[in-house]
Amino acid sequence: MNPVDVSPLTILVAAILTNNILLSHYLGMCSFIALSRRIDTAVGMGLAVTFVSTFTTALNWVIYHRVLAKGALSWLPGGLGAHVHLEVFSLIVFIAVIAAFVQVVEMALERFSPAMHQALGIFLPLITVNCAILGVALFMVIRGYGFLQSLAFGFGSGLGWLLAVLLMAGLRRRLRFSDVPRGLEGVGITLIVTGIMAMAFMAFAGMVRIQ
Amino acid sequence: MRFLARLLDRAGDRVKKSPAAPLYPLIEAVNAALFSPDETARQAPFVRDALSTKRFVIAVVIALFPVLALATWFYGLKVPVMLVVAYATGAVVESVFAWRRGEHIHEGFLVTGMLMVMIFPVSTPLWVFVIATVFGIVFGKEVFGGVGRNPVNPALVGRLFVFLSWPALVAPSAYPEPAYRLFEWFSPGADAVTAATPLAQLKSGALPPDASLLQLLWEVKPGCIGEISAGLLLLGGLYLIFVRVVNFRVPLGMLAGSAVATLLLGIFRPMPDLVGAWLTGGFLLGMFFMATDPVTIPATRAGKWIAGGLCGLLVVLIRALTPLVEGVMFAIVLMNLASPLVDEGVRALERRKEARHE
Repeated sequence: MNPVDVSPLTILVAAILTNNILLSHYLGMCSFIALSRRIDTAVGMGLAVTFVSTFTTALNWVIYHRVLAKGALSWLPGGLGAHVHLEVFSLIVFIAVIAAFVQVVEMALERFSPAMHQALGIFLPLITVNCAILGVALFMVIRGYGFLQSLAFGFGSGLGWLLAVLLMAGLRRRLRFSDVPRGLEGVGITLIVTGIMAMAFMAFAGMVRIQ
Repeated sequence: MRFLARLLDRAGDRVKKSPAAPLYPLIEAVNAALFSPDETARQAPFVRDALSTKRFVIAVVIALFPVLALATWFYGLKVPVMLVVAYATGAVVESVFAWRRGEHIHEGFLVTGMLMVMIFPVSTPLWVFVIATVFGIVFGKEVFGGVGRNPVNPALVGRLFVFLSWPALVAPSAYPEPAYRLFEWFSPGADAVTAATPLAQLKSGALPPDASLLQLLWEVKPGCIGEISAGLLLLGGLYLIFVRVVNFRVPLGMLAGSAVATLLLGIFRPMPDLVGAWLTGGFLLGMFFMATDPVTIPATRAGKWIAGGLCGLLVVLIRALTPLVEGVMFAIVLMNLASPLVDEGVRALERRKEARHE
């Protein structure tokens, strides 16, 4: 299917359920495991990921399609840009954009909303190295999404991550009453439960197709 | 039998004092599997009323027995053999884990093994069935510490794994038509008269005009072994609710949730058949015997309603919006996974309400 035809709403649903960035691509795993220990940190991190993923995807879309992509610089005077293509730099530029965005947001939050900054605390800087965010930006390029589609995809992926980490935080609270073999405690059992969750989410696999 | 019991008791006593003491739980496990132990519960799950887990388990087995008998009549000797295989596999896996943990083997597997048979079509190759049983018990139950500590229904974890790994072998396209086969062995070659299940007919449009709801309730239907008769499942489920082994909130929630989802779908497209959806596929089996598993649903009352509603909603939505014919298995597992969070939400709301009253 031509990705241009897919409505942003479909992409939003797909990013939450069918193509959940965590459960079907296993991206954003490290912070998922580290922060699903408590429900409040899971909510904080989930919201922060949703926020950052939405805006950096939009930002990266503009940078990619106006600067990096082949022929994107043709607006430069004298036909200079028509022959330049900078796609090779997309990976490093995306990372830089994400890191810069997170830094700016953190500074702004610290200045204007100390309470919010306090609540999100360490999660914001951690997002810089969250591969789910970079993954969303790269998928956006590979699948050739338009601007609105990318916005929906970034927002949906964040929400999908939030959903998964929330479910896992609840389950891990319950798992404290379990008697997990010593070698599987913590990360091991979390990965097993994530696997079961990913299998269950296969129910939605055929609901919509976005690629 | 008494001789065997005495032998096991004596062997247990002797091993406990000998250097082979670590082996004691193994003997105890075999002993507990065969004979009723004279000890009281020392570890979870503790049940808060006069029912012990043993009585609890036996009630479920009684409720499912008529279905099993009917399935044997229509699908042949393979059905009881599958039950024996499930119990034997389960006994081996559970014994190993019980031995490693130094705990007793738990009778909870009597239910899991029986449900395991119920949720597979008779055409399933036995090796697939064994893999599902082992996977379900190990990754659905034992890694969490055994009965009473699992977040998700173990039988469904095994079914899910096999469903996603070998879809052709266990999918609805492999469901055979029930016919009188009492003393026969089901062979997929000769008996592979596969029939469109009523659920599949519902999915692809509507039931044939001569099929009434009463027929759906009382006639035998092709499908998984446990789906053979909606009427017997209904009787078994009502019996479980009547003897208070199973709570009524989750099933009622499921009915309500599926009704809401049907009405919602009705806004956008021709409304699906609601009662038909209840009587076909694994809806009744899942609703009474799996969605009600007390370990994997919320502990709060409001949480039970919410989880049941969520489950019913998901069943209808998965059946209607995805290419999958059946959604009950997925819906119940998803509901199990959401249950702790539902509980947390309900408790947080209650706390907030209390704080406001003060």
